Amino acid sequence: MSSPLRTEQLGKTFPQVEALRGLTVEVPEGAVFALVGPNGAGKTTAIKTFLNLHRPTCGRVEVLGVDSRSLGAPQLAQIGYVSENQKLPGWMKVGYFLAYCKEFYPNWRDDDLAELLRLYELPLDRKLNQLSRGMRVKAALAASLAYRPKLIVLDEPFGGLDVLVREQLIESILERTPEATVFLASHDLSEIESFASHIAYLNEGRLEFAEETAALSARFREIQVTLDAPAELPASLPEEWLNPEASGVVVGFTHSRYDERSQAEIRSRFPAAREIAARVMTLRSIVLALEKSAKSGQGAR
Amino acid sequence: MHEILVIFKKDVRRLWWQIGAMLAMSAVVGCLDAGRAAAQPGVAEGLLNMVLPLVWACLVAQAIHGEPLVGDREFWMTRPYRWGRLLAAKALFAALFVHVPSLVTDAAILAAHGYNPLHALPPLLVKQLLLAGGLTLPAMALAAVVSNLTQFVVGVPVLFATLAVGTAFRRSYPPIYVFQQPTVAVLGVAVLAVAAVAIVWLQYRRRRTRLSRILAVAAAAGVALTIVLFSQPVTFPMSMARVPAASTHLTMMLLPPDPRTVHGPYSRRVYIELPYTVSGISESDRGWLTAVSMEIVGANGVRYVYDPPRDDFEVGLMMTVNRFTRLSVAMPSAAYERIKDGRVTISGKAGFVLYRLGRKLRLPAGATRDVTGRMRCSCAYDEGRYDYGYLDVFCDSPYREGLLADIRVEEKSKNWLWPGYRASGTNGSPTPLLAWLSPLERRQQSYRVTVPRDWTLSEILEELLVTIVPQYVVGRAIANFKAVDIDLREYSK
Repeated sequence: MSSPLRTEQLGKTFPQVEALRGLTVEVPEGAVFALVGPNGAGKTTAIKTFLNLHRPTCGRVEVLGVDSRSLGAPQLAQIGYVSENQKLPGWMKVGYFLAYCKEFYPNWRDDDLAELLRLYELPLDRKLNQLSRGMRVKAALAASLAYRPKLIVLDEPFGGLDVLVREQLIESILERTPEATVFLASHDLSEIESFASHIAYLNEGRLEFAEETAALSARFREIQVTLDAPAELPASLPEEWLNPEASGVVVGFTHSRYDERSQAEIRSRFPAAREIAARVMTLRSIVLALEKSAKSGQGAR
Repeated sequence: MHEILVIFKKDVRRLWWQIGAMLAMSAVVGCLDAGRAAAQPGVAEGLLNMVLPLVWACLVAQAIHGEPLVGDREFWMTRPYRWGRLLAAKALFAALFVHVPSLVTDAAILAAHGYNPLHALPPLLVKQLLLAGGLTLPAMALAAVVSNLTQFVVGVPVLFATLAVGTAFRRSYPPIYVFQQPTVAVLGVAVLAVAAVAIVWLQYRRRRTRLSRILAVAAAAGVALTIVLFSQPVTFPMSMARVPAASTHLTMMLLPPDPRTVHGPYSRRVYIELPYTVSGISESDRGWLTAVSMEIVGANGVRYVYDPPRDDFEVGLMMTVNRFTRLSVAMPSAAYERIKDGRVTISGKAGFVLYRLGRKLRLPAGATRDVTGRMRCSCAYDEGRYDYGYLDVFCDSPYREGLLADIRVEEKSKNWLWPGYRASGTNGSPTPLLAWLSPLERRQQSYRVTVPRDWTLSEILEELLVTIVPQYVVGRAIANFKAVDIDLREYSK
């Protein structure tokens, strides 16, 4: 099985809202795949459709080799799902909750759970609805990692948590389940930057791109051209130049296809360029540039 | 099985105090019923009979809501539950905490009243089937399409209101009483149960909430329609189908008017009293008029049809041949006005249940007797609060038809039959004054006793002869009748 999660022209329409439009994505096995995008982009809808919580309006999803509509207990026993808005059985004490979950998983490992409990410092005798949000996420994660799932699906799991807790949880996921494929939806780019191997960007239900994080970082540059004299922007610029702006003698834009030939191309567009600076961008700045570009109608490429 | 038990144990752990409260309530109902020797229950028992089914329904709903089927944020939905096992766990919960307590309570009540519960197993199991179809399954279905107990509790009256609106078109009495008609009730329960099973299956197998909700509304409408449409013409043959056909051929004839029975109009209805006679019933048997279908055709061609009757009370039913042999037809005044001036033709058919009289049994005051093996009767004097008391003849039976009997009280020396009034306590009507959960059908006839000045109470009780003649259903028969050249005004006022 090469891809534990793949979609083909996936669409999901609610009354008066088209939440997903032709989403085609393939998550490689063992990847940490981050689906990013602004609030309301359709990330949660996508995940709920993957897990058969919603039925696709069109297209299809294949999860662990099975059509999402036929997803059953054998597949769910290999999937760990944690979401920020998941309703946990609040009346259960943490200890009982974990013991109860254990009964459904043939691959449940008590030693893994003991390690997670030690790491997360979970109070076993407290009810879930008496826990803080961070503790609840930890309990849900413990109940999702102790059986070493093949696919871990996380929907904004770390929102509102402090940095230390977030780092601890991320580390625990990667360390406990090194062979698992992780699919993570988030709008908080800083939380995924350090560990996502693949990034997909969803905007208004449409997938703008999906690629390896390294390749994405390699092709995006923040370009600053310093001219001899003030000049206006040329009438037509390449479409991979995002958000171009001119301010006095300085022209700036985001290059979305930067490579070794780019410097020559920029110089040909700006013959009066005194200096061309190409800075490496963080994931956050890349996405901000894409969002800005999308809002201006230029598109995100 | 392991998964079923895990889910079941979890539900018990969560709902333990509700289960405890329900069991305590069942025990109280059982104790009250077991100690009752009267047709009508006390207020506490009557109210508990109303509340306990609601408690059962809420308990089932809470168990279902342990894993809610509505919404997309529930924890369990992304866990490896198998739908069949989840449903089985909920069914096990309902069986153990609704049906088993109900059955055990019923058995205890029967035992307390002197019946062997094993011998009365058929009606006890039929009751559990009706309880499943009319309460457990609909509660499961309703809980499966709402997301919390508040919505569920709101949904119950909404469902009931739907039924009430549907039935109000047909019934002049409160729709709740429609369940007194067992065959219609069974039909309604059957429709409800089938729809509930479909909804439960859809929700557990596919979680198709919108479709299930549409189905739930359609089911409520279906039950209302069943009650409205499937009235006497259908239910009569169905009721009668339980009784084997008799080989007897009956002839029914309408008789000349009897001025003593004619009375004036009431509530925009004119009462036409039609005396009749039936021949063909053997000496040892009696006939019990159970249903009538009738057509009155006027000289001007105007037809008035009683098929189906608009109201069960429009035709005098349950009248025994040789005792009250007349059909009392309540005709709307407007229809009567259109048809009364001129000779009419009356034709139709009447359904009879034929029964044979059993051995007469004498019941002394203060005694209890097993009358037929299926019915026990007792006779007791109740002093009352005034200068007279009551002789209460009380009978119970686990079987509805087990109470068929002719009960009489007469003064030996004068051979004079005393009039009594009847307080029925049959099951089926969920009002605070009737114990519809009781496994016993009850019947009580009371006779006012005033002790004359020169008599003692024991003397007067000795003078009274209480006899019970059990009646056994032997078959059914339908008789056609036709009378021409009738002046309706002679049969009414």
